[in-house]
Amino acid sequence: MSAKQFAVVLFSLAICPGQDLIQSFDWAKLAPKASETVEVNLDGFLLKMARSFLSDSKPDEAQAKKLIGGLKSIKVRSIKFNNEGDYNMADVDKLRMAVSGSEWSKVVEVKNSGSKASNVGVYIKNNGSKTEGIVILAAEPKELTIVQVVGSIDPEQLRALGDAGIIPKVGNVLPVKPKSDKKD
Amino acid sequence: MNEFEEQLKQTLSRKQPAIGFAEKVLARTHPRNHSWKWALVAGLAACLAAVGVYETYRYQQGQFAKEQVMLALRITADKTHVAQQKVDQLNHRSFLP
Repeated sequence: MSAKQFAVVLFSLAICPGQDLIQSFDWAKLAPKASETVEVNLDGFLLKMARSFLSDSKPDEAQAKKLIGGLKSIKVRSIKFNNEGDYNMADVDKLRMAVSGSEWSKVVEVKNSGSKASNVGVYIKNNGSKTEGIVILAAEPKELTIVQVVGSIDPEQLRALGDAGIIPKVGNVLPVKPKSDKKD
Repeated sequence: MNEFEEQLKQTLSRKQPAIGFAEKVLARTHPRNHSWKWALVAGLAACLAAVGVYETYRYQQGQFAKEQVMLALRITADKTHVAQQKVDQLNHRSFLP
């Protein structure tokens, strides 16, 4: 095992599923270059609050309520930049390494090199048939977004929200569980 | 002066009041001390205000959390869609002659 591989393994072990991937990134250094920043920090308490305020009678809210039922936290950081190259792709690679451990499944990872380099990845942490977390890493030329969802999430429910027009359509990137898994 | 007149005179004659009579009369003429009632009312009002403030805060926090959940789900879906588009583009390219 080379020194680089060893470093990757160490870094992967450092970011355990329960740990905060977003917190491990130095956002402060990107702040001066940002033209727009979105920050979502929903821990257990706020998710519980949100659940109590999502209506069962409104179909869209009822679906969202069902979706967040098994979640422990949702964290999002999305930064838009004025210019291309305002952030370092090496920093994104470090984040990607954190979700390259054996417990993580790389669902999609698309890398475009060149002048308009972009890097989009969807990673899922599975424990048997149970999804314990999702990390979405989208490094576009002028935008960097990280979504970290911890907890039991059903991609089908997310897709249903997209199909209902409540959120953008999710597409077929997220894996669909086999029918037999649902009975568990 | 007959006996009846003598009795009447004695009955209507000026008498010294009992000790502490003047203080009792004065005490009754002063308004009663209702400060404890006002304290109770003020306490209840403060409790109601505190409950109101807490409920307003809780409502705002709940609404905020709800909006944040929907925003997070929208961004999640949006970025998943971006990944889907990239995959579709690659698939399309691979099928091109």
